[in-house]
Parts: sequence; structure tokens; C-alpha cells
Amino acid sequence: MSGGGRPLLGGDRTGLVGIDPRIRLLSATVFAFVAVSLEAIPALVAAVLIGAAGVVVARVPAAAVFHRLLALDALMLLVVATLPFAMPGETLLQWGGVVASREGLVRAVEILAKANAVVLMLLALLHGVPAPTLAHALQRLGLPDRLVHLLFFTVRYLDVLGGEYVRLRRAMTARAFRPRTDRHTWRSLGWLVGMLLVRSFERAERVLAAMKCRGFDGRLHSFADLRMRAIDGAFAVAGCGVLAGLLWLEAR
Amino acid sequence: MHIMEGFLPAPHAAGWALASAPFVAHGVWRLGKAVRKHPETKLLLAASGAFCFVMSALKIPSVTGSCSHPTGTGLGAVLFGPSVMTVLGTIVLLFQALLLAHGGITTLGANVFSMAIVGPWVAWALFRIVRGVGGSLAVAVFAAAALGNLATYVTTSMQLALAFPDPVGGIAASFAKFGTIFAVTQVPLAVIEGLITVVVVNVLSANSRPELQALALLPKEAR
Repeated sequence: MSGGGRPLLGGDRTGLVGIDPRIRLLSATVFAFVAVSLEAIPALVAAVLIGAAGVVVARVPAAAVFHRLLALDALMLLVVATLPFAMPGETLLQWGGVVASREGLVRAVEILAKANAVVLMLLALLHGVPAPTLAHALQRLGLPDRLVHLLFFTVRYLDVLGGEYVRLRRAMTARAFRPRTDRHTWRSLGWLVGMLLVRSFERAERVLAAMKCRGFDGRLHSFADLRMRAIDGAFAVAGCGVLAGLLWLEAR
Repeated sequence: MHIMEGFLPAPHAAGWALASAPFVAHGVWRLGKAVRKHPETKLLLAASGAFCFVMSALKIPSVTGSCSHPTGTGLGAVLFGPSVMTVLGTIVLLFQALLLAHGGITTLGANVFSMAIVGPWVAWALFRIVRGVGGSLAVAVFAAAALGNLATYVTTSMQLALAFPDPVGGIAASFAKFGTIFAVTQVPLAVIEGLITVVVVNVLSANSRPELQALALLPKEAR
């Protein structure tokens, strides 16, 4: 539960470390909406290539890229496999009574390309940003304080709860628990989830006590120095150029 | 079940974001009131948000670009109320979209609407109705968790049907198609989530009663 191997609480070591997280967040969001609005194949191919180039420039570890794309494309493969048979259109392949259409295949490839382009760009722009810094960036972009605080604390608890879950599952395995489709399994899982929640409540109380000891008054102070610099402006202008290029390819 | 990145056309993505916004704003307002009264609630809710995340991380691949998993919204709605659950769900979905590529930025509004709004509100309403007509706590919790889960998936099927209407049968035919596909995995999962949630509520009542009562998070019926 540590966030798929990304540094939830660690430092940013990617090639985009010098760029303000707010610019990175905004760029990722705008790129995502532009990418999903594309329909022309050349524009979609370009979007995927730009995402891939971003991953290379940001020096995202290959293992992280592989795992993320594997998780995405394993699901997307089902789209590619089923959509040609679900959409009517020009016959591409006929097997028994089942017909695969060209339109369905094109739509499946479109969705596949959009999803991969956006995920690659998200990896490139946000993989290295520690979650607390991301929370502060969201706060500075106008997200309500309460949401930001909850996001911040949720991140704080993720590793804790994930570790607790692993410990409890290990204890169950040590007692020869094997999940099956029966009442014993559901009752055991219910106890597991219940105990996880009980322990998370207890942990929340201990964390609050520890924070009060350190003078917590309900406000979170950031060590992240979020200041716009010339390089951020240059990055934003370059990003706008890339998006303009994609839209030009789409309109051609 | 998250709708994956790139799956919804841009106008639909924007439309669902607009539809979700008032509910999220209302949830944030309600949360603010609760936190002002009991500042420690913030940490408890964050722990619950992380718990929802752990629950929703148990995913099972489904067809048509989605994946199935226990939503945890029924449990959250019964314990914390639907408004707070909307905020918690939004946070978890935002975290997953930005950092884990589970769901997506462009599909965030649609996913919030189905998983953090419809699911919790249906679960909460069913819990109140069943308890109101004299049903036992176990039956009410089961109905809330199982049907709250199913309501999420019915909403997602509708969202996909609106985005991809069948050229012949229109939105209704497409809805039937998506619904049938999801039902294969989701109906058994909803029943299982209902059963597990009943056990969870029993465990909580036995072990965390004082905390829940002190924070007024456990409904009167369950105390």
C-alpha cells in the first residue's frame, strides 16, 4: 500500500525536480484533458510519444513505468479484445457468428492510446513529487484546507495501515488460513477488516496525542518552498507549445 | 469500479465533474462543522480514508476497461454519514488518480459521482429505511453495504451507456449491455461485501464503541 513503489514521503529525485509542483500538476491535468479530446490517429500517436519522452526526460525508473503500464494495459487489453465485437461497422474479421468491426478496433486503439499517453505524462510529471508536497501544491492552487489536511493525513496513514494489513494477513496465514468461497472465509475477512479499522482508530488517537505534544494547533506548515521562477515560466510556455502542436495535428 | 483514464469523452468527463461538485462542496462544509466541534475527528477520518483506500485496492479485473473491488462505501456511509463519505471518497479517488493511475484525472468527476456520491447516499438511505421499519442492525448493514455497492455499479454502467450509446438500441440497450457484463462479477461481490460489512460492524461495536460514541459517528441504532 505504499503507492506502487513511488516515494510517498521521500524526496524528488526525477529530472523535473526543479519545476514547481503546481506547474507540474496543472500541466498534467491540462495534458490529460487535451489527450482525451483527441481523435485523429497521428495526434494520438504523438501524445503517446510525448508521454514516453516525458518519462525519459524525467528519468522515472523503468520498473515504475513497467508496473504502472502493466496494471493499466492488463485491463485495457480487455477493451481491445471486446470493443471490436461490441461495436457495429465494417466487417474486419468473422469467426463463426461473431463479427469484429473496423470501427470497434479503431475506437479500442483510440482509448488505449489516450490512457497510455495520460498515464505516461502523469508518471513523468508527478512520480517524483512526495505526497505532502503535492498536498501543499493543491492547497496553493485553491483546494480547501480541510480537503488538503485530510489528504495529508490519509497519506500519513497509508503505509501504517498497509503494514498493519500485511501483519494481520501474515498472522492469518500462519494459522493456516486459506481464502475460499465459504462463510468461514467471509467471517475471517470481516474480522480482518474490522480489526484493521479498530487499530486505525487507536493509531489515530496515538498520532493525535503525539502531534499535540509537538504543539499541533490544527494548521500544517510546509517546508516545501513553492515559488514560481523563470524556469517554471519557460516550462509552462514549452508545455503550451506541445499542446498547441497536438491540437494542430488533431485539426489537420 | 473505477472508469479508467481516457475512457470518457471530454464533454462527459467535464459534465460529471460539474455534477459532482455541489455534493463535494456540501460534504466539505459538513466536515468543517464536524471538525470545528471535534478537532480530533480529522485524524480519525484520515485513518478511515486510508482504510477505504486499502479496501478499494483489492481489485478484480472486469471487462470493458474497468475493475471490480469492494467499495467500502456502505460501511463508511453507515459509520460517518454520506456527506463525509463523499469527501473521503473524493480524497481517495484524487490520490489514486494523481499518484497511482487507478481511475484517472479526466474520469475523476464520474468516479466521484458513482463511488463517493451515489453509493454512500443509497447505502445510508437503505440503512435508515430498514432500521426505520424495524429491521435488525445486521439486516440494515447488509442491505446498505450490498445495495450501496450495486448502486455504484449501476451508476457506472449508466455513465458508460451515456458515453457509448448503442447505435441501434440507444442508451437503454447499451446500459443493459454494460450492466450485464458488470453483474457477472459485481452481484456476488456485493453480497460478499454485505456479509463482510456485517462482521466488521459487529467487531467495531465490540471494540471501538467508546470512540465512535464519543465522536457521535455511530448511529444511535448501533450504540
